[in-house]
Amino acid sequence: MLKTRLIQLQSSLPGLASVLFAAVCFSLPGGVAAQDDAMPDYTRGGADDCLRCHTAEDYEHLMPIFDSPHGVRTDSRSPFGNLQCEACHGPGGDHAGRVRRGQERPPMPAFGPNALWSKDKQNQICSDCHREQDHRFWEGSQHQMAEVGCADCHQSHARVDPMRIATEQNESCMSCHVEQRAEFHRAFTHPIRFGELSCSDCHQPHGAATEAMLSDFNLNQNCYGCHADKRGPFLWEHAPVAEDCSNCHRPHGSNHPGLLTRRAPLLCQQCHSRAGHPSVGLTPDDIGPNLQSAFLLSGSCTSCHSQVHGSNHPSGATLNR
Amino acid sequence: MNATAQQNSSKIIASLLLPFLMVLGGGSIVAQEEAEDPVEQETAQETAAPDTSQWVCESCPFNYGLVGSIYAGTGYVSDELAEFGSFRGLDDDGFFADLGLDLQWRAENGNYFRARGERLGLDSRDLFIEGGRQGTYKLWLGYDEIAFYRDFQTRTIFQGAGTADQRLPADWIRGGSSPDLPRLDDNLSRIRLGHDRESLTLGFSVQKHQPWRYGVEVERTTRDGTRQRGASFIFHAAEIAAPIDEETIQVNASLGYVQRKWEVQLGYDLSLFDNRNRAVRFENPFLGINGADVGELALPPDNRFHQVSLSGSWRARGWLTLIGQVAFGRAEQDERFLAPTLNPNIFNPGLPRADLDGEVDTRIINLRAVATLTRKLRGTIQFDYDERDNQTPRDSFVQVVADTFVIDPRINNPFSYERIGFNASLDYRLSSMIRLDASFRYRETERTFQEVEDTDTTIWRARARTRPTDKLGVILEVSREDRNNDLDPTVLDQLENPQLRRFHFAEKQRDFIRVSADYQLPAGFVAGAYYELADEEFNDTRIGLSDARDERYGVNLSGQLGSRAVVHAFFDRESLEADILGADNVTGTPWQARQDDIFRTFGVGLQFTNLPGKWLDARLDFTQSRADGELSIVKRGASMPDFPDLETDRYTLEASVDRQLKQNWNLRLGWLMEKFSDSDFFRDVVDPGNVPLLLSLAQRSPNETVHVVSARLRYQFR
Repeated sequence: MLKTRLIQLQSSLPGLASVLFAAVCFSLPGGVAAQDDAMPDYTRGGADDCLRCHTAEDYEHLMPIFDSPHGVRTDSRSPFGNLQCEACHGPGGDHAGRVRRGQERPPMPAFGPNALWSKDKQNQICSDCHREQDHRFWEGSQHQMAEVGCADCHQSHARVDPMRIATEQNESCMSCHVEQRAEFHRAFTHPIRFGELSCSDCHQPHGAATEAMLSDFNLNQNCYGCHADKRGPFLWEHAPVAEDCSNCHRPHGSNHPGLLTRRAPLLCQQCHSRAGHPSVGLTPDDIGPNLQSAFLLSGSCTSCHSQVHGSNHPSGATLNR
Repeated sequence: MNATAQQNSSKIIASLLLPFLMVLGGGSIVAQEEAEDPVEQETAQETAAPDTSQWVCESCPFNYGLVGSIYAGTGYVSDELAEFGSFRGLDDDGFFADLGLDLQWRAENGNYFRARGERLGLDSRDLFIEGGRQGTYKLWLGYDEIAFYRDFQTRTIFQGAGTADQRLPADWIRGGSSPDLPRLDDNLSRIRLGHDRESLTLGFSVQKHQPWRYGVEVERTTRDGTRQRGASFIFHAAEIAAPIDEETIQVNASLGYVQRKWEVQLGYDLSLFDNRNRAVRFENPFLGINGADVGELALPPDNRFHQVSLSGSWRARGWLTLIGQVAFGRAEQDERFLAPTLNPNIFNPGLPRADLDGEVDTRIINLRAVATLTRKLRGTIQFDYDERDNQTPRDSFVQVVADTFVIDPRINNPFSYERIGFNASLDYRLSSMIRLDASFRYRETERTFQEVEDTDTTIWRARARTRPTDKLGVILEVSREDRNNDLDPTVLDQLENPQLRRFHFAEKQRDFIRVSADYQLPAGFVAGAYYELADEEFNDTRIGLSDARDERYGVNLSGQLGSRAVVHAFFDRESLEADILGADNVTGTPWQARQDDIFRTFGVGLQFTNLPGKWLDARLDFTQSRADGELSIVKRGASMPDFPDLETDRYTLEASVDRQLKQNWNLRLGWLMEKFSDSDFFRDVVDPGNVPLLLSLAQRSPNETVHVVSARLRYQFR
């Protein structure tokens, strides 16, 4: 009875919390006011005004933008198809205008040293144009909550954004995710450090519904994208496999083959304790010169039970066919 | 799912969806009011857009035509080693070709073409080509090849190794154990373990008909090679090089409608997996019981997966965003069954059906509401639903164990699960220096055909982010997870230990703490450090994983050395401990095993740019990654000697320097060295014939140093 009531209470708690949250949302006045985002005037001549100071000779690193998708005049969505430099950097009238002697030149509103606008506002500038579908879950995402800006990873002035190149993208991710950098150097890992896979092949850095910001709808579907042979369904399924690949695997790297969390037999003996050989605790005596045990060495359990992901063989109930 | 569980699930879904619908409905009403949207306010206050018709951009150095570079070169590999060559595509010692390109052609009208290729002369390479008219449409073609090598030194006695039919040599003499195989040594021949994965992708997308967007991408991936599999006959097994000959075709199509404040997308995903081999047939190298001389391992069957999804987001008010996605999928598999046995001495029991007619429906719903409640307070609630509804029919299949003898029939269990999750979080900026956030997560999972039908998990998490000074930032995070279940031990197999608790749904508590800090040092350097500890206790577990602990710490440093050099360094140490409890034959000797994996990784790198003279860039990177795996067991109340450590020790040193030869021509010289010092008692003590009940392929740990020197000429088009 108590358990039933507790279950009922538990099941109603999320609903109650949601109602309260919704009530709060609507009882509050019209949301947060914009941060202190100054709105200067635009320049008179556009990019020509900017390039008077930011010359190709002195600012060579900025010029590749004219080779990039951002520098296409015939595309009205491209910055140089409308407000040119000020499409991204904001109105530059104050920055490019006259400055009194001794007065510090006002910074550009966005994407520059001492930029005036908040990171959220700067991100909004990018997303106003880049309204691709994979930005849907940005709001409330871990990167947004960590105040990561678009410009922290992307380089708009580059001919090719480094985020589109696997090795460069991975370096950028691992500059913050240092632990993952270490994991990709382990003996058994996905080929991230070789540039054969990029972080965005599994993760969606712009936000996703899943906990680890996975690209697909859940972890197993993410894995099946490359490992479709594991999808099944199989006649004889291995329940923890169908539920969650990370029950046995560590996708960033491991010191065990197959990126496993541990070796057989211990890996298997976490869940299998049948009378007979599955339950026997194996010792160093089983690798002695007088007894080399097949239950321990080489593939261990998988020497016989090799169909650990499931079997479609009619006689494969014990995953050995 | 049973009826009661379905009712509970329905109530939960309803109780969570109702407020979402309230927010959605209320938001739509509010959105029609006078704009309280800060974005709207900003637009009203924004500087009026200027007349850009006079912005001729005559100083803008637009580049049209061809830019980019191509390179060609060669390199030399000192030694052949599978672990070194894997993923690099360097499977042989000796010379190799090194080719690549990075080209772009762009016209003034927006037409463009782009091609990028790396390592085109190797077995791990990629090429991506894209073209179109910017803002209108684009087409792309991608080719990617990944070479994976497991071992080059493995040996087998099977004729047709790596194929679907593996037979014993003509002169083979069977024995009762591997030392009793007189023809073993004479018939061993090398077989490489590994495979090639090749992907070809073709896609297009159209942006011309805004706000509509649509596109399709088709990818065909093939895998060819071999992998190690165990082929067994009642306590005897032979490791074979089973074939991999698979093809997967994936199609992703999307149709989207995108507006400034809302967007919606309809998507369709298709996956078709085709295995060119249904099974691998193998002969028994040992004396078979009951005439079990040949067997057959089923290989992964062909499968199909379709999924339709609908997703969208809506900025209902300037401070409120609603996001959601639903996906409905179906996985199917109906490959014709193999015969229950190939042993002619056993009466073939027949099959209840010709194929599985397997069908799994998937349903996924994710809903999220994000609200910036005040200037300092942000809240998020999220609802998740994930269901795997296995509709595969159940039947009774007579079991022929290892082609040797018949036992009682088994009924297949089509496992299903249903996960419901709820997450609520608040993020509060206490001051310019302190930011706090807290979250509560609840997840309930229901399963079929397992001793645990229902688990519920609650996770409380709190985090504080502070910047006590403008140079120092500190983050502290703690969380607590509790998982409960409704275990019914009577559902366990009668031969299982009734005290078994399977870790993935056993009751547990998990405590987590993480502290990290970053500090801006003088001269533009930034240092960081972190420590985290996760402790899991499975209090109800007497057999199985009872404790697990993950402790980690590290430091990192990066900065500029003068105007021409950048340096970075990092160190990471992680320790993974686990205790597994067992008992021999259920009521026999109890034992406790401990696994400790300790990882230490260190790296340092220097990057030089704009070197004096004609030297351009240089780079030096060194990484050491070491892991020690310690296994120990206590049995009969006494500690046994420890197992030998599992060691992996890798040093990687990479250096390169670029020099300009003449205008548009650069030379890159490179050196890569990687040293392997691994020790793995699971493999290293095993020869093909020294484990009595196992005929092994005899994999070995790498212990070698490989050097690669390379030279590459690059031509820059502009």
